[in-house]
Amino acid sequence: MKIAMATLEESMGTKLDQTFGRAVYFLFHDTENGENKFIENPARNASGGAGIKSAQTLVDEGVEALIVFRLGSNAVQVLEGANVKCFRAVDESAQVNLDKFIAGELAKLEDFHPGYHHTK
Amino acid sequence: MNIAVLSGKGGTGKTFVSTNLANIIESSTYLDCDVEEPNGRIFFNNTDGIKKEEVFRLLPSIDKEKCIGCRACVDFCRFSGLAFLGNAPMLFPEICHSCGGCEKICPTGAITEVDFNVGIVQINKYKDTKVVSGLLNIGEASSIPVISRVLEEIENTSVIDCPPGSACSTMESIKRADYCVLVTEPTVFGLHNLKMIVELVQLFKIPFGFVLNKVEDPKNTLIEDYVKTVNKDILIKIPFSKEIANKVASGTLITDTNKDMKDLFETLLVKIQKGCE
Amino acid sequence: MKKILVLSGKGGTGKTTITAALIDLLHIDAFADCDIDAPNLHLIEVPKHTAKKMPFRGMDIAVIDPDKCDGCGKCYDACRFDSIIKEADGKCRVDEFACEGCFVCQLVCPQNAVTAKDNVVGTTQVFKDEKVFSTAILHMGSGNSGKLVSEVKKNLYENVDDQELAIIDGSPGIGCPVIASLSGIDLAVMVTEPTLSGLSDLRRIVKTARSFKTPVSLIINKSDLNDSIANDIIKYAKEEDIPCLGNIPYDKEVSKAINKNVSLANIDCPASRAIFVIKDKMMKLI
Repeated sequence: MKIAMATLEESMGTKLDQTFGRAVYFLFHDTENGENKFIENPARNASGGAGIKSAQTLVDEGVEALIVFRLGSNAVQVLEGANVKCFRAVDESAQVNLDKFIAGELAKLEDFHPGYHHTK
Repeated sequence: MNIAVLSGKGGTGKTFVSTNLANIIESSTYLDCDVEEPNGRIFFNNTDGIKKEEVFRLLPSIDKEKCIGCRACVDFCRFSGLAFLGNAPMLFPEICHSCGGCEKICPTGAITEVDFNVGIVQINKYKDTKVVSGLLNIGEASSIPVISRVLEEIENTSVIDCPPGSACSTMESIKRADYCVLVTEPTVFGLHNLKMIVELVQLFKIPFGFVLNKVEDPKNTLIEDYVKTVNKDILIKIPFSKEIANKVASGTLITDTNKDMKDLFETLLVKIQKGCE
Repeated sequence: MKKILVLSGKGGTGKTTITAALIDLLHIDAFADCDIDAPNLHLIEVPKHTAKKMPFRGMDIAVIDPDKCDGCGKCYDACRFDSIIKEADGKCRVDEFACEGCFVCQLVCPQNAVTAKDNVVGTTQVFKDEKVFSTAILHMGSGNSGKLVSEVKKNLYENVDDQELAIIDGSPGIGCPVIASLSGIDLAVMVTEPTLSGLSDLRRIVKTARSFKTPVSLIINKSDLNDSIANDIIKYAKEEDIPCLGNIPYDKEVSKAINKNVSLANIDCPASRAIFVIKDKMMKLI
């Protein structure tokens, strides 16, 4: 399965981005073959609906799980609609977050904030 | 004749000036275009025979049966108002700008447009003034559809109470103005923001004049000095008085209760009429 | 870092004056002016040196190539924002101030005459020494206020070091720039005045802030201009569970100080004494 994270840099040692919609990069990890892929977030400089655009990117990539600090309700609507499970990130590197996820140690992300149009 | 009242800085007295101006003009229309925080209706508070009408914008409605999943609508939308999930697009109403593009681009006619309520317009009568107020729904980002609807009620001599600032909502409000009254106060804040709306009315090439409100200290010539530099006049100066502030605070039309104020506003009207010639 | 946002609903209640006083009394060294339509904070918190200025791009807007345009007017019919102007020679031109950036005109143009262009709609400024002050100015007529507000906040957050508290001067109203300023805020301080207009607008801004789950608090400025309405406001606050930080009396000294670019924190008068008490109550909430 494909797992996604919002990251600050293109390396497994990087910290995760505090935002989702305007994250710098997205990391996709494929558990089938252990591959890690980074892409620049196309929604980063969108003037509005960045959460929606970012979520769309993940859905199109076939992501099944997302590890993130926070999510706006617009992004959640897209992700839930596509059955993507969301988990609360820890303030560590991408690699540590991935390991904790696989070990079942990350909590589900339950509280979301309302959309802020033109902001996140 | 359409008179727009604007200020740049909030709280200088736009509504105070526009409501009282409309009050002394015979058979006038008062239009409140500050639809985020409309206050004119507080002063023209006769609710007998009040009419309320909803204001709408158009939102796309997607027929999933007709959708072939080509994603042309999602890809076209510049605002990310549509996402593609599973087998059909999903709409985000607060993001949608109602441009109509998705409806046009859909190859199968799967998208139609439906009304979405963004606010109301209410019309009442206060003595011989027609009072038109726009009220934007909380959470709606754009005032424009409500302002446009308010301005459709322009009739006879109209006084347009504008939103503060100089952004798109203010621009929309002055589109049909024959004269602009710029209300300011003798503070550095007032002056700073005044310069921005002077630029705006000059861009629109609308004749304008100044009203200086809340005058307390005769030695303060901040605004007088500036006004000279743009070759214009201060039409009237309104002195600050705690008694008047107290009355206005509770929604009194001061031109109904204070003869000096009534005369002052009559003078303002005459000067505006001269300025339009 | 905790973030406080000062709002009002109604304009002219004293947001900027009070924000400046709080900045000085609490020695806050991270602050921003998000009233990008009519920014004023820099007139009291006068920066000592020049800012890092950056042009701010809004959404791309449409531009019509007059050589390709054949005056068919399909763009004019399709545009929902009154942004297409028909010139004397029959050709069409885009009104840059009104253009929403939707590109429906491009979609319907049979001559491919419409292209996109960059649109600079404002300028951001960041002043940084021991303090960080982020502000911006939105060019007139622009509709990109929400995005610019977000940029001002982003510039503030990206430039702070280890400051624990930031305060943001907000804009009047309840629309786009206010909604954008509310994200990530720990406490909204509503500044109102004892007028029917002030109370009416206060209700709407409180509703707006609460719809984004932001905790709110209240200051009544110029409180002695109308005692009856001041009491109505206090009653409303009780009913709505809004903590009152305090009342500030109307004080001639305030505008005198502001006009000399002096913050209230640096003079002694009834208003400044009231703010002194207010700041402590506010810090307790945060």
